[in-house]
Amino acid sequence: MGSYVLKRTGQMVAILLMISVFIFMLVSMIPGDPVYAMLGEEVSPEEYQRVYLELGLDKPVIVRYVTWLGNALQGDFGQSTQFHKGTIEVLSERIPITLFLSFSAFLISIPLGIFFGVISAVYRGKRTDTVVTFLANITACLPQFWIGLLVMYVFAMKLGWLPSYGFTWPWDDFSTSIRQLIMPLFCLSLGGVASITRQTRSSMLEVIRQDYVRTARSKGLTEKKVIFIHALKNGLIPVITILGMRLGTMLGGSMFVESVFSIPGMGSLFVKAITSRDIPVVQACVLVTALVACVINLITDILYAVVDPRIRFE
Amino acid sequence: MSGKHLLEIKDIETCFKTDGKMVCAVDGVSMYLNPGEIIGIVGESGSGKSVTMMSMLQLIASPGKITGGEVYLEGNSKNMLEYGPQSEEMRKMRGGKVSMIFQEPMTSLNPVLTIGYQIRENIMLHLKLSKEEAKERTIQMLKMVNIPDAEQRYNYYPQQFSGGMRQRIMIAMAMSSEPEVLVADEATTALDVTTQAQLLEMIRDIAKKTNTAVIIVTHNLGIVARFAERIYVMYSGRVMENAEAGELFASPEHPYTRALLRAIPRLDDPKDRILIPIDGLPPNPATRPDYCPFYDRCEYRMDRCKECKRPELREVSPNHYAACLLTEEEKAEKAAEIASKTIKEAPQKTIGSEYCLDVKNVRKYFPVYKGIMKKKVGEVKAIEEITFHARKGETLGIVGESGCGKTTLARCIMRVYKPEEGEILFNGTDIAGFTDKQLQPYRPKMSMIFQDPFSSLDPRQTAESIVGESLKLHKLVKNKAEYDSRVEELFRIVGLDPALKNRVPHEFSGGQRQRIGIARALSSNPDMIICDEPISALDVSIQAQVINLLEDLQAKLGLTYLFIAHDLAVVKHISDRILVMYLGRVVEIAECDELYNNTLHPYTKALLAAVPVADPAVESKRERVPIRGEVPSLTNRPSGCPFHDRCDRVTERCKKEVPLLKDVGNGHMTACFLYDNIPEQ
Amino acid sequence: MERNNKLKKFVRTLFSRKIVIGAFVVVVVFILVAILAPLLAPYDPNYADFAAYLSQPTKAHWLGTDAYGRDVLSRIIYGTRVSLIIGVLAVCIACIIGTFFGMIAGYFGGIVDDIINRMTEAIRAIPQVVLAMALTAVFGSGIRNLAIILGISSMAGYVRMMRGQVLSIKQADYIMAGKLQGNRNFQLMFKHILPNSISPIIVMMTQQVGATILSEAGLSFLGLGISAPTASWGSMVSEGRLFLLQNPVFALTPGICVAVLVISLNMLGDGVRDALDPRLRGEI
Repeated sequence: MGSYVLKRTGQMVAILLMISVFIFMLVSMIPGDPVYAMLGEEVSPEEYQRVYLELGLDKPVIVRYVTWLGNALQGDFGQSTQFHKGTIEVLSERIPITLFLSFSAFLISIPLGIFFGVISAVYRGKRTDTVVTFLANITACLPQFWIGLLVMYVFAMKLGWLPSYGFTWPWDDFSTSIRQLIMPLFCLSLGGVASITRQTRSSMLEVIRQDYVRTARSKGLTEKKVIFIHALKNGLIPVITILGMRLGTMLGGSMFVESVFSIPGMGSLFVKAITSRDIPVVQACVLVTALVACVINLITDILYAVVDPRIRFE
Repeated sequence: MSGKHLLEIKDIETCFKTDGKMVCAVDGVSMYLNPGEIIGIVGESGSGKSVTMMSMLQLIASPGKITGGEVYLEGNSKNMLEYGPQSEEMRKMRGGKVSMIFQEPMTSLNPVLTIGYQIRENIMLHLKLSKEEAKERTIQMLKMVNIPDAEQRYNYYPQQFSGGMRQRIMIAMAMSSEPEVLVADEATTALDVTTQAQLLEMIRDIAKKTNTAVIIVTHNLGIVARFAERIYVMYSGRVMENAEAGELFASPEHPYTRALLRAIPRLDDPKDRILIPIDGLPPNPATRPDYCPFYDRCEYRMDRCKECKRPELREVSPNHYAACLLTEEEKAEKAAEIASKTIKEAPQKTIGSEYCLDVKNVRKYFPVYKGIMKKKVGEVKAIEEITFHARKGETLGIVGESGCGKTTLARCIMRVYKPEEGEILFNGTDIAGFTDKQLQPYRPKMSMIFQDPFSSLDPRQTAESIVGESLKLHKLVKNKAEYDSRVEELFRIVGLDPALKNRVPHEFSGGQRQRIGIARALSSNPDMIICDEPISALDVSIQAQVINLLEDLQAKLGLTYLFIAHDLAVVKHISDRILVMYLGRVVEIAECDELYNNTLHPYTKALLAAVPVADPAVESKRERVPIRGEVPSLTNRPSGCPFHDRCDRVTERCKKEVPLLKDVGNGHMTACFLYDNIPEQ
Repeated sequence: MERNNKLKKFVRTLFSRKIVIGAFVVVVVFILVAILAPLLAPYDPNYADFAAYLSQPTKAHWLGTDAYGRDVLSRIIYGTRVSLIIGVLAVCIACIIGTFFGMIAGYFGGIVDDIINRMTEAIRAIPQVVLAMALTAVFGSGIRNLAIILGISSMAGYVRMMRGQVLSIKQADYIMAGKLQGNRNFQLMFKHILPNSISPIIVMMTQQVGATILSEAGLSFLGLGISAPTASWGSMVSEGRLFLLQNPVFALTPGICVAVLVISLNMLGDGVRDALDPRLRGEI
């Protein structure tokens, strides 16, 4: 078990290193002179020189990468070209908001998705299953930004029940915070619930066909015990493996939801940084999301080993 | 009627919905079981034997449905099928009164629960014991089935056990609730022959001790002959014949049973025994005729068989039932007619004196990697010091249990693997170290026939392009016309209609697919063919067809065969000489009859004794050679003689030194210290 | 003859469920709309009628007009083109590159496999939307760039799928048989492995078109995808959100189009999966 965790952590570090190479290369992938690309053509010669040196364009690629990585590891991604402030300064208040939204939606969608998935697998072919599967299939295809606008139109504009924008931390003002969070979290969780439902259902159906479930039935166990003791744990194993990916999707979805509900998270900044080619900010945003996604992947991998003894004794 | 027996099944009918049609897999099967009795249900795949058992316990899953029949338990006058599959009564019967062991030991236990939990659960449910008492009984049960260190292993997960061990655990679980009936559904089919014998003997001993009745479901006639007291023969969803075991084998009444016994090779056969295959295929349940389902393949058939409905079982002699319309006189008449037909002579083959294949001291190790950096931490010694030869036109049988290295050896000879050491002289040329390019001219001269007719043919290619591929690759034909005629010829040689050549593999039956595989192997005019378990995936009635085809081809084309199999009866039937392997080493090589009549190596003795013979009369007289334990995995091969920890004649020397292969006369070679004082020939 | 039968059987199973027929019809309608856009659209999508800006749905403008007085219906009709072109193009790019690398990795194994596999894992570790966004920062937007960006960011799935397929097919005896008969590596790959691994790839492609259209709409909504004045559903929603209260039809209708098209494509994809290879149910 210990060696498994160690191995997985090693793999994660390797993947993060690769991602860091990719992120670093973003600058060099920009066609043309990166300084012009970042600052526009009408940059002053002094400014050009400053950024040119800051990007280390006079040094070989490897040196540039190592310096950049060293700085990045200390939280220094360089100057944001649009705010003329340290990148981390710009991001430090925004990252927690995005993480808070994604994690909340993540935690909401797991139990709901598993619940609906198990229900529809157990009642396979019955009306419950048909309805759940149909709804899951549809909601998984709805664009998040569109659902956001729809609920905003109905609940904020027409009914006036909820505020249409803004973000407050729950510990600052709990009731305002909840009222502001309901719609964003709903939009963000919907797709997650739908896809976890689908995964759980198909994985449960697969497990119910297995020989050991037949063995359990042949022992005369009640159907409830067969499902919840013998099938469920096995059925959840493949679901756990995709949960890690799910959080990544939530982080991505957060970009849209933040935009719709004007939440001052990382998303709006990221979009702005892209349109103005503020590369240090783009790099920082990508690295942060990748890091979070990787850590969650690692945690689900470990969880996976806890649930599945086959991994433990490999 | 009900109340006489411990368990009685009447007219069970179970259908599966496929393509919108109801297809009956079991079509009116009745049987009974008395307390403490061991019965055997024998039939080929698709005969409905397993489905009958599952229907009895209402374990049939959608799209299957039990459409009729009755099940009575222990004199209860209520039909168990009237209770629903989830009812209290049914659940008490399942696991409580009737326990079941399934075929696949690797998948039948829940991988995420400990074996202790899985057995305990059964005990607590049916014997109403407390958790502690149940745990105690679980450990007791594990000890009963000879699981070492039962207390510690109580908390182990299934994947920490070997296949044989898992099946022991299944037996422990099934017996833990003190059932009155134990159903073993192909319970030992997936296991090695020595393990199979151990387990079945254990089941019999436990059953006799606890007066539990046993139903052995199998396709293997030898197993029922050895273990069952009464036998049901099933075919196409029906019972064809039912009799006491001795009676059934001594005077089989149904033409199907008679045909089966003529088609299967037996370990005690004389060398020149000719197998008489059953023509055709079992009927597809969807298009099963109204008349006798065996009619189309029956040698005894008469016109009136086709005019009547399917025959019911009737008593032909006391307690002997058969589902055949023909009277005794008609059958006797037909039997005489069949006997008078000239049976095709055994094909005469000529064995040359020069070697087609000469393998010297071949060794193949596989590296074991570990860790993130894939550091090499050791080697698995798959085969070591393999030396043997095969003469031109000869069949050399290679036998051994799983993990003995027979497949590795085959792949080394075919040069899929490159051996670490040794020579492989093929027609006098050492190909052991050849590169792929150097091998190209030799590839057409050696071919391979594979075990699984479903995975050995590319599902996307037509039969024609499968058979013709090497003709094109090696430019063995000059033009399209020559190609076409050669492909057609190959089809005809293996007994396939060339009109079928545009079909894809899944449109053929298993036997036909194997014929395509043989045609492919023949296409390049090889000198040698390696047959890797070519018939073990086929039904018994089809096996004889393929064996006969292989023998005919050998005689006609002068081929050399390396025939790899685990079924010793088949190997004995087809081989001229036999090589026995154990854990990567050759333990014995001898002429066929010599090996069977003058067995030297203790492992070979145990192996031969483990193979059941399809005749209770012979079985009762055979010597039993008990064998301990299971084949260890290659990674923890014992030092010294690889067999020493299971051998009953082990000495101190065996634990330290590896015995070398040594000729003890008549070309009979063995690797055992017992024969050390016999002078080398 | 045999091919024909197979095709017939495929079509029959595909359309055995009513919902798949429905989805197929919807998809065909969208394709026709995209092809016939110039004939169907009542106005030039970029014609700005400043006199009639932000008009409610009327007889002249069925879905009203936008802030520049452009006809919403016409823009939606032209937007179909953008969505479908990008969806199909991106999936083709992802499939060709991904399948190629997956096959190489699975077939050769060893160090090649390790490198490709690690790269794929790295790409998969970045959320797809974030990856696509980062790439737009480099490549810029526009139909062609967007297709490439979305293709690259969804490529990892094909690599993984193809690699898995090859690894399992490589175990089959018929590959060894092919090798023993003297086939060379590329012959084995293209003659025996590729045809046998193609059906899950096709299924994945049909299912990915919808997802890609969704991503395109998302990027355009954020202002990173198709830029003005080209009509795209995502950017129309984005423009319309400012006038949600005045004319909700303007913002919500393009979103409905995205949803209906994507749902239909996915249902059709599920149908194709069930008809091609029912064993894949649950895997993809």
